[in-house]
Amino acid sequence: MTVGSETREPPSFRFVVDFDSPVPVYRQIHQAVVEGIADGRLPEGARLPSSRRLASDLAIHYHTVNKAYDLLRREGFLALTRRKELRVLRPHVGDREGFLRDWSGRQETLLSEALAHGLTPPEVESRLRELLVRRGARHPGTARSGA
Amino acid sequence: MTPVSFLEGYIATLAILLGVFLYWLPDLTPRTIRLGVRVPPERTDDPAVLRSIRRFRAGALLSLALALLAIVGIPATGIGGIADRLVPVAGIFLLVAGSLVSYVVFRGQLLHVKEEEHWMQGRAGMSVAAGWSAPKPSARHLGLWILPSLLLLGAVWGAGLFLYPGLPAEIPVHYTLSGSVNAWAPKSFLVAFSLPLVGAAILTLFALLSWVITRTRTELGPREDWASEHRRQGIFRERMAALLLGVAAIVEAQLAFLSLLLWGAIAPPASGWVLAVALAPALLVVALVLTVSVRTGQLGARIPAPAGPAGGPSSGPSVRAYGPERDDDRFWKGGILYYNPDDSSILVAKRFGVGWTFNFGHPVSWVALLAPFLLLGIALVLLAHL
Repeated sequence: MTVGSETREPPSFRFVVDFDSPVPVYRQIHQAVVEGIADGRLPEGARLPSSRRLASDLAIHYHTVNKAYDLLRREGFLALTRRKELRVLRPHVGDREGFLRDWSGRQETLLSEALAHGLTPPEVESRLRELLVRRGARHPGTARSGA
Repeated sequence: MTPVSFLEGYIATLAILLGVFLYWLPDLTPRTIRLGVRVPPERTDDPAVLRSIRRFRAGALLSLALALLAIVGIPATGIGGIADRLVPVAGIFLLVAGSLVSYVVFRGQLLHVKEEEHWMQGRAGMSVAAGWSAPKPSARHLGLWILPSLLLLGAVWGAGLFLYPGLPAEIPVHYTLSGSVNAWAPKSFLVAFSLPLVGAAILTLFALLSWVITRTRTELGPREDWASEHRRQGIFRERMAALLLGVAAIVEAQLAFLSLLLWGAIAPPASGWVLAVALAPALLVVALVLTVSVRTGQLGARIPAPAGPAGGPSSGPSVRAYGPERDDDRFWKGGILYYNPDDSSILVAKRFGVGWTFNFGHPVSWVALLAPFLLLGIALVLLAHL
């Protein structure tokens, strides 16, 4: 069970796919990686399993995994190294503009949903803060100040 | 003791070994797969589960009884002739077919109860989980296990190349059960080395298979103790690979013995021993396969959870894996054939048994299944043209 020291696998990160969920499987994989990066379980440079390996482990088609990985690469979360390994990246500062535009758009949708369901702005605010605290409290070291 | 009654006893022994194994089989699979049906962890000992298993076992025992009757009983009735030879083999077939029918029927019953009572309903989070690639079995271990076969094969080829110039113009190619030669062929490389060539092909195939199975997936559920389950299934894969290479060694040893016999390097065994020498390796293979299967269990279900390097709770054999919590029964046609075109895996762990089976929803499975026939056909055509 010797694992190369350089490519040691982060033991706390795992993929769990819920086949009964209305969220498509590729979305679940995408979300898992993004959450892992956000809370520090997937540090920069961490290696992800190949799409064939992950697909086989999850008993799904590798196109499904490819779809998630392609999306993550387009978003700048993953990069393919010269040795064809998938490594985790933190998106560069240069991507920030485009990301913020996209993120704000999605946030507007979420916010509208909450308001349409009758949540008041203070309620939304407190829920948002709660979420932030939960993430921050679990992983205090990952709040990195941008350059 | 006449040769035929020896053969009867031999096949009856095989049937009893196989029957005991089939009786045991429901206890060899992971706990959440009962008689080939995926059940939630709290239902593993549900009365309906236990009833189905009891019935399957009754069916297996009945099949064994009928098989033994066919093997030992029918030749004694004096049908004679070719029937004497065929009936024992038909007995084994009867055992396997009877147990299979029993499995399909009572598995179907259990599946029906499970669906009627909605065992899997409302269980949010039916999931399969995967982490990083499972710890790879060290190539060093596989290298160690393949060594005896390689040495045997190398020794036979060495001996063959040394003996070939001195071989007579006609080489014996077939022996009767009493040990006398009943077929000869003119000397040629292909005739003299037919068995070592077969040996090389078999070793190549077994080495390839043992490498392939070390790359099969680890079946994990979301609630698993992952580290311990990774280790358990890693041990399972490694044992199965070692078993394959152990079987290869037995086969190579028998082929080496037969080669030396055909080349006249060793004297044929005394006539009473010919049958024993011919049949002992097969019995050894069956005993080895069954012993390792029973002691390991499917996916290592009978391996006590190995203690992790991090310590953790010392989990005994009672600490079982939960397995994937996905209702995947629909992919198992009749509980035997796996058909899931959305699964990237070619080899998947058998539902009822120890080892792997093909995913028939994957095109490569069909290629792998048909390739041997294709190669055999090409070889025959080539031989005919030589």
